[in-house]
Amino acid sequence: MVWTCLDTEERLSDYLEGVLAADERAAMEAHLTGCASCPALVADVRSLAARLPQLEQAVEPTWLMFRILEATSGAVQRKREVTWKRFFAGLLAPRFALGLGAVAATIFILFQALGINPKKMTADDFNPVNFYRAADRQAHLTYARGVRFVNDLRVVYEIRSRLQEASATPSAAPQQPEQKSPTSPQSEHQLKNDLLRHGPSVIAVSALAGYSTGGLP
Amino acid sequence: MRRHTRRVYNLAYRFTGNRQESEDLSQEVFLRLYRTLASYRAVHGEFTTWLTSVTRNLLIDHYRRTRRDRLTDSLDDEKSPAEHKASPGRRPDELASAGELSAQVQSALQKISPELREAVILRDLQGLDYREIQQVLSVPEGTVKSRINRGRIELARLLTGMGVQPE
Repeated sequence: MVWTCLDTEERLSDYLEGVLAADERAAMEAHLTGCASCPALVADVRSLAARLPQLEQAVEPTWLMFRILEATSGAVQRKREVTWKRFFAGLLAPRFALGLGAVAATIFILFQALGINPKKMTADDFNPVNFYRAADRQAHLTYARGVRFVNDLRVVYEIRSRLQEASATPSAAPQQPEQKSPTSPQSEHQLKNDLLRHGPSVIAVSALAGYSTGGLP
Repeated sequence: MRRHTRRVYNLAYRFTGNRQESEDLSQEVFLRLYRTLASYRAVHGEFTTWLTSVTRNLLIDHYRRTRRDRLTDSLDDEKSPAEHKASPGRRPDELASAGELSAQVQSALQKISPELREAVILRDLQGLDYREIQQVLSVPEGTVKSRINRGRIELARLLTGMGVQPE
């Protein structure tokens, strides 16, 4: 086997690591005994390969690790922002969506009760004083409507009971049998219609007026 | 953590020869590592190999990015070659000093091509085996061996030129 200086260079590491085939190794060693330059190169590289792993390591500055830790904890914070987004996405899950729906319904009912129009909402609507006033006003309005309704009912029942009283004593007006009495079935029917059309108060007033002209005792 | 920091820092320092750059690069390695930690799988091999791969890729990116600056710098350097000239006149006991050898190796490493430099650093300074280096560099084993061999020879010649005697 002819071994050249170029071969020595190419297989130098293999030779030093002892992985050359036996015949190659023999050829190289034969070349080394006769070559002027190769033995020096082999010695240099052998020495270098032995010394390099023993070189002391470069020592990083102590603050470097802390700087890295600080920088990577910044990465943790960025990651947290992402999880916040995930949290809001989680609100669309059925149980949260139902809860949100219930809250929205409550707010709607409250707005209705307080007389707040969402289309014409102003900052004043959220002033506690106005809140209180609106609630107070609504409560009074509701109370007043209730009172009026009850009073109207009372008048209606009073009229009805008087009418029934009148029809139970037909002898009270025997002289005018042809005169239309408010107690007749037709007039009672009319009264109901009027009630539906105009509300109890108006009818009550007109009925009472009719009584007075109808010659009740 | 400290062990990994030192490994990354050393690799960066041996490759760039600049402490400031190595500090910045080390931090960047860990930031990148942190962002891509989720993509780390056992198929990438040992964690150390993966860490070395990330570092090496960043070093190569950095090398390409700064190539233009370095070319300008080296032109400037040529105007004052005396500063970087080898010091063959030093006494052998001075040369034996480990710190000095380390500095000379560092200086010589900067003079060889980055392909050879990274191969020698990974093998002889970081102690990776051929299989690991193959993974880190993503080149065939033959190429890895040939680059390490070539790198050692060039480095040995440079050091001899600087007056470093073999033991």
